[in-house]
Amino acid sequence: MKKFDKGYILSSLLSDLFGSLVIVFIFLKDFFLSDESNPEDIKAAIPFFVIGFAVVYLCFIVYRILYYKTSGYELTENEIKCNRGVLFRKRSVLDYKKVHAINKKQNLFHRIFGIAILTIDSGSTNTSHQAEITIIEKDKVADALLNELNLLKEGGRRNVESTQPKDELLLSDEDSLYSFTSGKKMLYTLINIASTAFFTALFAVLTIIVLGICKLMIRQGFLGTWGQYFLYAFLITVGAMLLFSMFSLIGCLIHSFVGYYKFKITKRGNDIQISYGLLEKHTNTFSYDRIKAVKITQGLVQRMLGFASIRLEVIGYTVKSGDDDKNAGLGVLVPFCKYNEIGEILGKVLPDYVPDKKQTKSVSYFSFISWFALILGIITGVVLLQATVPMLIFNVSSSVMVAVTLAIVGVGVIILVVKVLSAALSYQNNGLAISNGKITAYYGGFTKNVTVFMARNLIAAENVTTPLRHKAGITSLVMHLKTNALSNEVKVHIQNSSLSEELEKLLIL
Amino acid sequence: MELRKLDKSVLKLWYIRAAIGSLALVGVFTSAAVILNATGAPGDVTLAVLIGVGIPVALLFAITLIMPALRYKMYAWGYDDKRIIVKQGVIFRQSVVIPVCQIQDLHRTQGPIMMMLKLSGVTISTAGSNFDISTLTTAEADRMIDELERNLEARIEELRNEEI
Repeated sequence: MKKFDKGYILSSLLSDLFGSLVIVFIFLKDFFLSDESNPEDIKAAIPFFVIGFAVVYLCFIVYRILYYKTSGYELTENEIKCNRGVLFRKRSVLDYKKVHAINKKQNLFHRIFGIAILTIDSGSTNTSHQAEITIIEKDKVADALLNELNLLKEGGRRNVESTQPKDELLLSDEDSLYSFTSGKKMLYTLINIASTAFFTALFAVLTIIVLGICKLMIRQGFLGTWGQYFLYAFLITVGAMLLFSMFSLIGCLIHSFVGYYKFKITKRGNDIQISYGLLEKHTNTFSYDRIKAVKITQGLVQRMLGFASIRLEVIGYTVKSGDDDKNAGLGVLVPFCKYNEIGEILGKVLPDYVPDKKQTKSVSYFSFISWFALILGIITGVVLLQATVPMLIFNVSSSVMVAVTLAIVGVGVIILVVKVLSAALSYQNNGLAISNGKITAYYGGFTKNVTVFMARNLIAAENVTTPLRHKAGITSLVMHLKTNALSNEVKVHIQNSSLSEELEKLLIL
Repeated sequence: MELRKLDKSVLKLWYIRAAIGSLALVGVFTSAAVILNATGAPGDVTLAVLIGVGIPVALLFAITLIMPALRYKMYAWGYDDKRIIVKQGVIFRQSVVIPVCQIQDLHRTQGPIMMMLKLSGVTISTAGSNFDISTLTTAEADRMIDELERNLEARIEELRNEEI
């Protein structure tokens, strides 16, 4: 069994050292750097800190060396074998034919030592939290292995003689089927920020209402000191929200320009390869026929400006970082593009998954808000009752009672207005298209989603209705998809009930 | 396919669960009353707090006691050699069709009260979602699992032959 590259030990130790120093700085900065720090105390404490740090770091060194000693991999005629772990040892064997996705990752520390991590996954639901096989090798060897494994998963057998790493077969940058330019990245960042700003503004409006009521109550002497505390707490929350918005902008910029650095989609035969990243470089490869669904998402701001993002549901492919965590999420196919370019992009990359035009639409607007309005009415009524009865008992002045009542009703009305808007968008969005074994589901309110999947990946069909809707021939459809992701349901609301029968016919019984 | 109703003993289980849930609600209300009494809160404060806590507790209490009977009335299930159908829900009525050939695993679960009443829950795992058949008698659950296993094997064989 071949051992992992020694660069693993050095890169991990450097990463551990960096991480430890950051943690030490965060926890001990007050002790060393505050005005009240006593130089004598610092002097006396330094040896203990150094010894403590050395002991902890020694443990890291021992762990990394033991991991290196106990881990390794082997490519046999029909399967790939992998051993890893120190305390909990894991031995995995994966048949080449069952390889679902191969991901290559490189963070900054890996790149310093010229190594890369390959994670190979079978798409088994049982191991959805962790990739089955992990290989840590020199960058070039990892690339060669990636190519070799791509060929093996099609052929299924390996010629044991041909173990020499092959030349790089990747397509060049010019062959990329999608280009995430700097202009697009900037727009992507600004639109993401606009969404955050929208919700911050909404929060600010609510804050102004609450602050107005609090001030009135304090003036009436009803809230007293507690009211002032409440007011301060609210002001702190507003400050925190603004700070959060600022950090989102910085985070989003880093995410767009660093995370999606040199974003590239290439296609070779039946394989699709997506690579991106500056500090952590990802190269994800998977077969076309492993794709379970394509999801097109448009946030409210994206929708107003005519942009969208496309994600893929492929077991084993993800954008999450981490050692070998694949966390069963949707992987990005196209982070940002014009909505009217989707057909062209998908036509080049995934021609079978170009969304069809909606064939059905929602049959009633009122059904989107009826139950919500009823439940909101009941909750508002109960809250009003709970608030007014004690105030009557305490003989609270009528102005305060009016203020509280108005505040409760006001919040209820704001929620209802938001729901009415969301329902209008849902009414416009929801719909379905079924053609040639392909299902295109349109759904969502403020965020518009379009999921395209093949009928063969439909696991179960469900319909949800109420007695009144049943009489009116209205139903909501829930389609359960074959995937190990957490979001494996697609819900299309308020459709004609005859559609549920049509959907059931598509199930492979 | 003819759908079946749940066994009467399931209603008993749901009422026992509702009673336990109601006890928790009564506990919340009683605790509030005891705390107010012990701290010597003025009468009007006690009344205000008890009304504040009492209204939602009373509402939840009523819902908890009514729900089992309604749920039982609406629940129906059945299966044949190709599909499993489960219908449930009081206000929002769900109806799900699960193809037998999509079954990955079948699980039978029992809690202490279920054991006493000789009842079992059945979970059908597929490559996508898990589906629960709320509660069956243990004999029914065992029979269902055996039959579904047989149906699954036969169906897989049929599909394999169709492919060839």
